[in-house]
Amino acid sequence: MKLYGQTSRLIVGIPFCFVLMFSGDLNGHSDATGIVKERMDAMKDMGDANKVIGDMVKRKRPFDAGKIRSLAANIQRHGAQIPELFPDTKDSREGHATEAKPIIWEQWERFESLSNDLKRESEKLSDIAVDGDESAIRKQYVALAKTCRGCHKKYRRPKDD
Amino acid sequence: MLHFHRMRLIVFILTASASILVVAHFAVDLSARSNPLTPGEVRGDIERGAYLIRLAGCVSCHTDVENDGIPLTGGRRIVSAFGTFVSPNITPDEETGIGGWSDEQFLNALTRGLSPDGDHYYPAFPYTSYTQMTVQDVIDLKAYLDSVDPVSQEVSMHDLSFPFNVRGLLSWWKLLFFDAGEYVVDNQQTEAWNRGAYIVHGTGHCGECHSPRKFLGGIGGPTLSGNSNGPDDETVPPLKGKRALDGWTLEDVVFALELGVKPDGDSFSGSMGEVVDDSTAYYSEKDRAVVAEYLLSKEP
Repeated sequence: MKLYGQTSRLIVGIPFCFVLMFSGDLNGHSDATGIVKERMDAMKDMGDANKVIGDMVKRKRPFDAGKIRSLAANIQRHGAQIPELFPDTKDSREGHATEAKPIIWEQWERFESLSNDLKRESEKLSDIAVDGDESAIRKQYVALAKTCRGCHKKYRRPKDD
Repeated sequence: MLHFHRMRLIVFILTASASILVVAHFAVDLSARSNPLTPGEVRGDIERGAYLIRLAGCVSCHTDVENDGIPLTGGRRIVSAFGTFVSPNITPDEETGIGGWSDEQFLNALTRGLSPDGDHYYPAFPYTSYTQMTVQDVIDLKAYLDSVDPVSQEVSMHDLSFPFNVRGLLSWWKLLFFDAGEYVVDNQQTEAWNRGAYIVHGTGHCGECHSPRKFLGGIGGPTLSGNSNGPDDETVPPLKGKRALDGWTLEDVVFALELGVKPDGDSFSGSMGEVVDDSTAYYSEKDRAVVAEYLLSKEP
């Protein structure tokens, strides 16, 4: 005997699938609060800028030196905020959804110096973009990307990349 | 009386089992040591070797970055479920490094997992992948290592739990999990595809982290299908199969290998950041492209 017809299965099944689809996201950034959310938003903003510049460098979208200049300046602004976005507090260390490794606070000087590298390299990219020289911009973007992974490889818990 | 007979039977069975195990162990050990390779007339090229040391990712593991160690002098601690491995010094120092090794000894270390003394290496050293390397590539690598400055640096021993600290048992592990042999070219595929597969499975040893593992540490599922319990407790994503690299273009893969930047603008974290820094960032543009071509192809 069939307990459930095809229609009732669909009525229950479709919303269930939607819940499953979005529940992953609920456990991610949107669930973070306070200082953890603040720094995740800053990182997301930098990642978005990085994506646009990266797409231009790999010619996935039209090259626009003016846009690169403003995006790099945006990364520089966030880069300058990094030390204050990682205070040595309980919320900051253990806040829900944080991807920051506790080793950050054990190696604070190194961490801070890496954030200075990010600030410096993004500022350089912003300056170089004024001339619009594509190969010089690419070269500087390579240097900037190195600072991002330099910090992430040591201080961020890997996600399912 | 019956009790006495039963005891004798038990002792007989135990002795017989132990004898069979001992004989089997020697047979397995002998087979693991059989077919050593010889380099023949192959001569090493230092310049090619300097490139291969990056292509094979030797620098990351053989350098104690955490303590600002000198490159290739070893001492890096690799924590695993079996205990802690410590990478050896591979500079040509006679006492503490690999100075004085013959080409043949080096070849058998890399492709057969055998030390010059005939001991089995733990597969934390990825000879399980390097076995696919050509003799020429291995000997070029040796030529380069012979050319670097020897550094005297003793490293500590591995710190492994029982029974993994019994090195002799590795012959059984090899019997179960180790397929020795050079990469076999697939004639149905292009030269570029084959070069990509050779780098991914051989020199680059991508499968060591990107494949699931069984409880004894052997590859326990399709190669490159990801590992939810990877080194350093990382979740390592799949590189092959239906959902692997979903939405990535060839340019995206090439770009990520050079810069560690994913298509969404995020950077690689953890071990893959290191792999880019110490290895794939040094790949030639052409080698990054063939790796991307191979990874994005439908064929396994």
